[in-house]
Amino acid sequence: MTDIEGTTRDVLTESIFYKDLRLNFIDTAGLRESEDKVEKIGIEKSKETLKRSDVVLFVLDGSRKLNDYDKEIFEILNDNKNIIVIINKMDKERVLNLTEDDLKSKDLIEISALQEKNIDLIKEKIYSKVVSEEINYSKIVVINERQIEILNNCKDVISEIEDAKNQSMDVVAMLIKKLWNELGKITGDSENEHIIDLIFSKFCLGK
Amino acid sequence: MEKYDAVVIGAGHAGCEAALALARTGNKTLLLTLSLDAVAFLACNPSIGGTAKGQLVCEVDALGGEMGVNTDKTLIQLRMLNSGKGPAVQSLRAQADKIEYHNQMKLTLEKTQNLFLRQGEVVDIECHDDGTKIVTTALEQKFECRAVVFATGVYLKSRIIIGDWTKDCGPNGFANAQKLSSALERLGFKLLRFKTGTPARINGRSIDYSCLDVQKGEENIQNFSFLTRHKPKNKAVCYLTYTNLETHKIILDNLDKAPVFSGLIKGVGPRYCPSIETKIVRFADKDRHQLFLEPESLSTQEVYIQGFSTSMPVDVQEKMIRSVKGLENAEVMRDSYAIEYDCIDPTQLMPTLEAKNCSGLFFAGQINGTSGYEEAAAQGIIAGINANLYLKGKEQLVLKRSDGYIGVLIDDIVTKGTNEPYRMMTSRAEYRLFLRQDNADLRLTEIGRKVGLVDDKRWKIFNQKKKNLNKIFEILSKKFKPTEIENLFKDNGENLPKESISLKDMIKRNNIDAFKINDYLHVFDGFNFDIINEMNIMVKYEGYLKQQTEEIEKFKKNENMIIPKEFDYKQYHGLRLEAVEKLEQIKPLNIGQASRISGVSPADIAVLSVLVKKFNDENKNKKNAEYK
Repeated sequence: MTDIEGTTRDVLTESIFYKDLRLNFIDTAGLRESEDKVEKIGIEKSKETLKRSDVVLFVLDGSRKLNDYDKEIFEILNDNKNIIVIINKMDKERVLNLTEDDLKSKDLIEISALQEKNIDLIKEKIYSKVVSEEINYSKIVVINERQIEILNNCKDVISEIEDAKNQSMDVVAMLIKKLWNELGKITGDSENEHIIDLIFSKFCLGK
Repeated sequence: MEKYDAVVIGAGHAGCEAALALARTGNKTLLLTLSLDAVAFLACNPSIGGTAKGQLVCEVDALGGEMGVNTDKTLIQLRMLNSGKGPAVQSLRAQADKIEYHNQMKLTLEKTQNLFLRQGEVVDIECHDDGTKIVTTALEQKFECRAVVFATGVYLKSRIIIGDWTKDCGPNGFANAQKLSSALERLGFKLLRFKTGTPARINGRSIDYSCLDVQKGEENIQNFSFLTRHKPKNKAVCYLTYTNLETHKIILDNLDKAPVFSGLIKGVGPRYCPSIETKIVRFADKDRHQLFLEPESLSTQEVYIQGFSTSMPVDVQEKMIRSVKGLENAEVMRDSYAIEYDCIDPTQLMPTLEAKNCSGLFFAGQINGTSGYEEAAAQGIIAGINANLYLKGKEQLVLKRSDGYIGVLIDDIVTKGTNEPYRMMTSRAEYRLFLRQDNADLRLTEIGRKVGLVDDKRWKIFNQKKKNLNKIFEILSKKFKPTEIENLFKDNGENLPKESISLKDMIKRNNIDAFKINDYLHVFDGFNFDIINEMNIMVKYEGYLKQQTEEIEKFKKNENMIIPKEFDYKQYHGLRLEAVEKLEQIKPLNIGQASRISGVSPADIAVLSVLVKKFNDENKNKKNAEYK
């Protein structure tokens, strides 16, 4: 990612845990119409991503006025279900004036990314949308054969864990790890550091 | 100028193993230390082993190292941690006699052929193009050699901090190394600054033990070394006490005087072993913290207060200590301190522990950003082995993550680096069911023999163990009638089978094991504890071990896909720029290692695998063409 507008071409993803939820954030390429071939692919990808995502964070710069481009994007977004409008740069003087009724009617959160202000409000908003079931989970389906196979493997490991009830903890731990690795093939997450961070946050091991 | 094959700088736990490994494989080795009184010094805990560390000690031993032997010689208490949680996570932990530990290791070094132990502060290293290196000491002595092992511990530009008082010195007031850091920077190494600390020592006569819980050693376990297997002689006990709300109040009231919070300490400390003030702040909801009182030696009254390390001013320290139950009248003998030191970013090393930018320079121990005596010894022996192989022009040794905790440790630090002092933990090992203390010899002794470090005595013991294991497995198919095993099954709450049952199937029962069987049937009387124990684990965990072995086979596929040294990442499209940068920095030996670099994605690895395969095929064709 760079600071220059329009240079985000890849779709960048990052996940965090908030309360008991895992939130996957996707930073999309800009939606500006372009002649550049590469950029065009990026824009197509972004539109695709928008369709698949549960919540859209529409980030506006609070230190400048709404321009045609912002409006254009909002047009594209407007059919989307869950939009949260984020007004960034609250550390600067507010110039942005939301006149569009459509825009005003959305959830609004003012933040400062620079000063890391109100970031938790975004997480909490998303969380509350999930809790209040504004986000529809029924459309979640297993997409391909590979994922079906992985989930079936997971089922097998779970019954293995049940069978290992009388085994010592190291065996059970091994099987849980196996389950996690299997799930990781779908979520892309099998990083050990999480566990280590967790251990350090709860215990002092000593030397 | 005096000539040596190798010079080892530092005679701590890494340096001792490195020097012994070099000397024992026939290299004329100079071991330089700032102080002969600090050889194999247990600067913090008077203890060897512990979770995951016990495994490291057994692995060092299995390779032909000294730490296990020296601990067995000098231990005053031994316990097996996690004994109820299964063999994979069981670890030995010994209280070592700190004075004896130092004495015995020093004596071993002095008696070792080819090894020359000498006091001296190294201030500079020159690396010449022909491979010779000149090591210069503060007294302007110059030593010529072809390999150097850096095992400087926490002595590089180290600084002790107590309250607002600081002093440039090493642990325990020993002299530090002022100039070597700059020499390393001149050689092109990037340095990090880490921090650690050690608690106060108090006089045992001033402790009221009568109100404290005692922690005794265990009698029915075996000590560390495969060479000297016997039951431990427990000679001392530890005691358990706790901090309380008053202690916490004293700390919180004086937090502004704590260098960790005032900003005086810049180095990064370990999360797993925080100072007591950090613990109070970080775990604010806890109203007490465990403290262990550990005897330092049989020939001193000094007692180590485990869990109470602090860098508070001494008057606050004393108040803190005296607020603890049993320590109301404690006489402090040494104050607790924090220590900051320079170390190198370990990603500058190859998995052999040789520097990437200068061949013949090896690094081991705390200078690599790790912490702990056992972690140090583990790297020390590998650095020593590889310095020897380097001197002899042979292929160097890289232990895989599936070979041992040593493999996990080194792979972690050279591939991912570390942003805090690195401590070994069982959760870092993927194959821990397989990486146990009891089978460390079965995993590593053949490797140790191959690199010339396992002597005939150890080799004989090892082969005897293998032979006896085969023998004991032969009798496992022997079947017993229900009438013969009625008591065994009844007493242990197992349902009696209707038909004859083999020994192997009996062992697999939940409430029965090989030792219990032997109590009733005496079938294993001819075998010693080690053999019965090993067989018992192998049978009980047979299914799970098989699963783990299959996983290891899968893992090895990527480990065996070597990335040739000439492979140029920049030449190829398809790899992301970030991935190329990381790969060029780490220079992974194989696809497996590449996949563990942070910032290199599974997609990058897929692309890289194809490119490497193509590269190898093309090279093969080229060579074939030349041949024709």
